[in-house]
Amino acid sequence: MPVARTLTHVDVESGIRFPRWRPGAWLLLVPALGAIGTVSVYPVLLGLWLSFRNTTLSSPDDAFIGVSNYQQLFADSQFWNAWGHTIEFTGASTLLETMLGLAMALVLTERFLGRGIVRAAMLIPWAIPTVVTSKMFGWLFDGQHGLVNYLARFFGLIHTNINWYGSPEFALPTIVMADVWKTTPFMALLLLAGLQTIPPSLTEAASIDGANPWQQFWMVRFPLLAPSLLIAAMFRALDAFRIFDLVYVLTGGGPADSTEVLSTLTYKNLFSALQFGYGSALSTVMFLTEIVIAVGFGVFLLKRLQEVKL
Amino acid sequence: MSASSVIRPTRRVARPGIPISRVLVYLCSLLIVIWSVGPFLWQLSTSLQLDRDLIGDQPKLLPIPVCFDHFINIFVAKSFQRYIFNSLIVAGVSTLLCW
Repeated sequence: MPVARTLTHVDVESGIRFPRWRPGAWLLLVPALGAIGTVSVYPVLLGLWLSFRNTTLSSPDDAFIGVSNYQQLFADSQFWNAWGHTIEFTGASTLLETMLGLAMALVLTERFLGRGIVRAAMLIPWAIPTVVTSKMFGWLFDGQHGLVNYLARFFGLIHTNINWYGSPEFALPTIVMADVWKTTPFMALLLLAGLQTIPPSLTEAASIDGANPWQQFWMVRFPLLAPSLLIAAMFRALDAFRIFDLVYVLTGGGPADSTEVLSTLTYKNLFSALQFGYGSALSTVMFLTEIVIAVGFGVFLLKRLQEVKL
Repeated sequence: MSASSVIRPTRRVARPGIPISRVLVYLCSLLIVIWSVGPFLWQLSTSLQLDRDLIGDQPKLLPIPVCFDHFINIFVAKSFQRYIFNSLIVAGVSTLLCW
């Protein structure tokens, strides 16, 4: 009988998995573990450690102060302001991108002449660097010479130019729009892959049974696509939550902090004010919120998968 | 038995004209292309326009007269080719390392 060359063995009676003593195999894992440890585990732990200290690079302060940073943080209106904007941005962009991405994927899954070209064209926004996208939308939505203002005036939607990202009420929606433009292709790509795993025989069968396209979508494709949809939305939500470059380049958090998000606030605290302790507390809270979002989606997804199995 | 009484499987006959769903698919894909490529083309047009046209009263959609000043500017006055090369190195090496 061949000996299983795994790092664990399962106890037949209890079903518990025990680590197997295989020095050679564990030794081979050292480079991978070392790389993960130094670039991902260590920084997280260091951030956590710093968040309990008052380390400031511009002063000799460097002492353990317990949870004072967190107390200060929860009483900080700037933090709650940024937290609210981040949640708004994440919710709005994830929702819009999922819906638009689904619509695009449904069109691009059909067979038609020139489909390959349209699929390639769809990916252009995603291929442009975010900083360039930011500058591009800055120019498109320019308050004086922007094309968007001109077109909106031309079609009679507005009478005077809107100062899109220079006014507190329009700045965040403008950033959401830029993000939707940039990231919808990514969602469409994931959902297109999801749609292609659904056997065409199922929709054909539904069509023979007399289901119209609308019913075919909601009764056959949508339930089967739900796991892909949830995974794509989760990736997008986690990614949107740490939005930085679009905001930093387009508005820098302004005007009047109306687009300040957690990443830009953390950056300012860490690298402009050099408050490493307080900044680390901020990033730790961000990290925890990310975990909550991931677990939320995960639970929803597991439930969904169980329903599909039953 | 005459040949006409034999039941043949009905064959789907191509309907005359273009079905509305086809039109819809092409219309939607046209919208996708405009939405995705439009801003990029506007950027391209902007890069070829004169500065005074850019801040004029009415934006020009097409770069007439064409002006290559901005391109000369980035490749001659600034060494943009060096930055492209640097990006290629970073992209190439990181792809190789992850592979």
